[in-house]
Amino acid sequence: MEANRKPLIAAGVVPGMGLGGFVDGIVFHQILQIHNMLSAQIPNTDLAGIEVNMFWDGLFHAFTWIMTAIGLGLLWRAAKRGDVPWIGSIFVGGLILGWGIFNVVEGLIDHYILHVHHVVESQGLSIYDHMFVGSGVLFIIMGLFMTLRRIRGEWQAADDRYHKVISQINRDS
Amino acid sequence: MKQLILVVALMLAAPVAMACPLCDSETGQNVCATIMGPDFFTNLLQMILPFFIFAAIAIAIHYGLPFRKRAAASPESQRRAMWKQTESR
Repeated sequence: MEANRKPLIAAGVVPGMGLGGFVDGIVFHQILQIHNMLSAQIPNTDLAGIEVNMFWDGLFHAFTWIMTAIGLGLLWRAAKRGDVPWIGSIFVGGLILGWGIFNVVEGLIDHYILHVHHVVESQGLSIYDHMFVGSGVLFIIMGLFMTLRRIRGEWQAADDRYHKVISQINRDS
Repeated sequence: MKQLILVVALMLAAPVAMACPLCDSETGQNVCATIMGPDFFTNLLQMILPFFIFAAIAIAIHYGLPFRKRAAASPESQRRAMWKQTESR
């Protein structure tokens, strides 16, 4: 029987995207302060500009928080299923895959297409934006490898569990 | 439903922000006017656009792509359906 990894992968990808957003928001927006959500359109060179960008940063964090919370719910549901192989590398791979998806999607849309901000705002579209998206591609490759690779004993363990439950159902009926 | 409750709770907490000493100043009023100005929905759409794509990717991973559901009649999918039935027992 084929073990069903999809729920566990989804439970890793969704919080991975949220946590990737938190890394971006906390490190780049708040600690390093090299850009904000709309810093390419609303300069953060005076107090009003900083306050406006902080509002949109806050909304952005709210959505990443919601995404992370939904991911926790998916993880709980995956844990209750009997056909999901409970393997740590699949879940961690999902987290890394989600982080990579965030970097690529957010990087392409916000940095290259909409130009709402760039990694180092003072330099505009620069090598740092390419590195940001490039790191996302690397994370996606790493995450796909970790989530999709064959794991010794995984199918056998899921198959054993499946047959045990089915035989119990047959005995009860 | 739970998300709706969260949004309502956040909106009810908004009056607390009125304690902000900056908000009553000229700078605060400029900030408010800039946020709630004619570009509000444009900025909101720009900010939220990646999350629509994130949601689509998450749904595709969790539920599978539409063209893959054509295999629903296969013996393997029937066994998976039996798995789901076991959860309700």
